[in-house]
Amino acid sequence: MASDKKDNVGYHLVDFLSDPEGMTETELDEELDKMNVEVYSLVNRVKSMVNQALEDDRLAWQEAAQANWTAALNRLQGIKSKLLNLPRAKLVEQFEEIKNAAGPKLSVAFREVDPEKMDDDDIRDIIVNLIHLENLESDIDLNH
Amino acid sequence: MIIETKAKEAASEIITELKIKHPSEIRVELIAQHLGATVSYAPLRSAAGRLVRSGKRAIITIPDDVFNEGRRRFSIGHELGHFILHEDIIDYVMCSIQDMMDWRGNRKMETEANYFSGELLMPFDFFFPRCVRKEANMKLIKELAGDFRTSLTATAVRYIHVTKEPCALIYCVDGKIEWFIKNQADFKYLIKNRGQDVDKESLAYESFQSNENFEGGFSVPASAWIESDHLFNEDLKFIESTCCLPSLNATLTLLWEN
Repeated sequence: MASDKKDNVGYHLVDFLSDPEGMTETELDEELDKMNVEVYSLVNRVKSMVNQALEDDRLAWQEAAQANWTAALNRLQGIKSKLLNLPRAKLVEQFEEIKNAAGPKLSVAFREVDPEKMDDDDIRDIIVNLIHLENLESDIDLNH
Repeated sequence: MIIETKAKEAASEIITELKIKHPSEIRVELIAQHLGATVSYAPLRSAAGRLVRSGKRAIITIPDDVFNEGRRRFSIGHELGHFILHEDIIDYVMCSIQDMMDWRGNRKMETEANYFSGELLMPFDFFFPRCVRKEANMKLIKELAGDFRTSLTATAVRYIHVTKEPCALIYCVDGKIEWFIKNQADFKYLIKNRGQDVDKESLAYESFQSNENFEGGFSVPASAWIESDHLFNEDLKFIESTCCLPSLNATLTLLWEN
């Protein structure tokens, strides 16, 4: 019964607040009073709900970033696992291939990079990075 | 000055846009990811950080054997600085520890990346209120480094950049002066040059001998740190506060006028 009354008040309140035009402040107070609404407590409750919603929303980007980061690391790991058993000569060859196939900007950036001066882990890691970035570029192209 | 302004503004904008309100919310890996750069840890032996970029995306690689959280976070902030500030210039960069300590513009882009990282990890609006009306010494720097999860060196540099007190920060390695910076509030004395031996009258010297910290402020003769040609008052004293960094065989000294 109490719940019915509450729901009823809520219904009337929403209905009423959606069109309070033409009423004076006193009339508004009287109408709300008739509906057993404690205005100040209602206002405070709405304010606190709005603040909580804003606070929850404030750092929502972190949740999305965390999920994207985990997904990206898994993809990097996936690429890396396929290169783990490649001998050095093959790694160098693949690095040169990717470097030459990359756009002119990246080719210039890697001009000074000499794989002969790098250890296997470093070469493998750069290849993984480049393949991953290339895949991302392809995804972007496909999505557009 | 232009170098630091551009970098600081860029970092500050990010903090504002991401609605960060507290140091604990500065999760630098997530900020990087949000901006398009994935942070990856790998056995990177030849550098302290690396950036590979393609278009709007990048991978930041940090050596997986850096266990100091502060150093790791600063390196990520530094590479992110290259990603944000040097979009049309840098697609591939390997940065050394020396690059991440270049605060004097020897290599302009490295200094910019350092200022960016400093502002990102220790935003002025959060950092400055924690410094005011507090005694300047290494105890305070350690406290701030804990609050912001930053390295002692990066925190001390940030302190020098924001404090209104005239003071200097001196970094010594293997018993010799490696670099120093003075703050904007006009610390007017000329500190001894890079490469000079740490003076026996300084606490830093004592710290090298004993691996002890002297975190509170202690009075030392100014001649311990100032070129004698520039010392016009032989009785002048400084207050010195020094921390030793045993893993780097280094000391970090905060110096201010008595």
